[in-house]
Order: sequence, then structure tokens, then C-alpha cells
Amino acid sequence: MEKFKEFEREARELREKSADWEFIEKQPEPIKTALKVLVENGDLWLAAKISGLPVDEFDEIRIKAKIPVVV
Amino acid sequence: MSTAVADTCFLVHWLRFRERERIFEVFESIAVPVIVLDEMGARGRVMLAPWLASRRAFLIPRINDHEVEALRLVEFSRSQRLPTLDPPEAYCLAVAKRRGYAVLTDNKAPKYLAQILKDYSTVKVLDSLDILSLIYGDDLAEAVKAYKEDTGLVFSKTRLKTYGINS
Repeated sequence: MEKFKEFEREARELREKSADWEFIEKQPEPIKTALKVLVENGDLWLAAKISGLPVDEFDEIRIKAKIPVVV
Repeated sequence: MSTAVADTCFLVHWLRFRERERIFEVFESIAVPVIVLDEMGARGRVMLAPWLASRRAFLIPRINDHEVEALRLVEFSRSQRLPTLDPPEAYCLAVAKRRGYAVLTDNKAPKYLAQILKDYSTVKVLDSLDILSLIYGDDLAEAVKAYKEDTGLVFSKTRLKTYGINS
């Protein structure tokens, strides 16, 4: 579990650092909130659900927002 | 060769990869639960269509037993404060256990659950880095670079080191 927490910390830092916050702030709701949730917890499926978009369509926006999915 | 059941996020990214067809060097077929297909939009479905049409991928219907087991897994991970397990990946785990398939997912939770739950200890859970490693072997570093370019996905430095790649 400690290993997992360490990975999550590293991943969240990377998402926060890489994200294009100006792009994110310009998005309409609920896309803006969904992108922020993605930065916070890295859960693409949950973020897509919040956005109301299919996962692949939300993922296109994620790429434009420069939020990496960390594996 | 065997069958793997793919989670939504894995599939969405892998289908963008320029050499996505090479996954069939590792698995004979890819199972796609309808619950996963339902999460995909037009682009993903179009990308998946050739695999379905050529019968290298096939759909798994919604089955109540799998849904009940998926809910049990989601509840367990919540009650134990484990990494968040989403319903589609829980469904994939349930299918994999019953059918002897591997699970393809880029999320950490299914891998973690398979490690700690005795009744899931035989389920093999693989992510895209595992698959790239199986396909590319010594040429993994180049493949990782291409995968990152195509998908916007980043592998953790710690994991890359375990494969001998210093990013």
C-alpha cells in the first residue's frame, strides 16, 4: 500500500505540473470540474463520467489540457 | 496464446497507438464487455470496429453474476480504503476470474486487488507498459516513446527503472 501511495503522490505532482491551467479554466462546466478532478485523483473514468462525455471524447480534451495519464 | 479482457481506459489509449495491431502477438483475442463498449464514443468504436469485424475482439454481454461480483469488489475496495476501483474494471476482474482471461487495465486498483484477494490471485492483470515490454523486449525504450507520443500517457520513473529504462 505504501508503494501505491508513493506512486499516487508522484503521479499527482506530474499531473499538476504538466496541466495547462489556462486551458482548463477556459472550459465550460462540467468539463472544467472534470479536468480538475482528473488532475487531483487521476481517475479518467470518473472524470469522464463527471464531464458527461464518453471516455474517448473526454480523453481528447485531457490531451489538449496536457494532463498526463500516469501508469 | 490466450484471451484478455480489456478495460475502457486501456482500450481508449491502446487503440490510438500506431502499432496497436501488435497486441495480437501476445493475445489471440481481446474480450470487450458491453459495459466497456458503452463507455466509448464514436472515435473509439470506429477504431475498435476492425478488431470486432475480424473476430479478433469479441463482446461480452452484461451478465448478472458478473455485475453482482463487480459490485462486491467495488464495495470491498471502498470499505478497506483501497485504491478506487471503477465499475468497468471491477467487471473485467469478475469476467477474468470466471473465464481464465488476463485483465488489461492502466489503472492500479485492479492490479492491487488481484495481489491481496486470495480468490483473485490467479488473475493476471497487465497494463500497457507490461504489454509493450512483452511485445518489444529490448526495443522497449523506443516503443515507450512512441506510445507516449500517440496517447499522452506517461509511465512512472520507478516503473521504467524496473524495465531498465532511465527517463
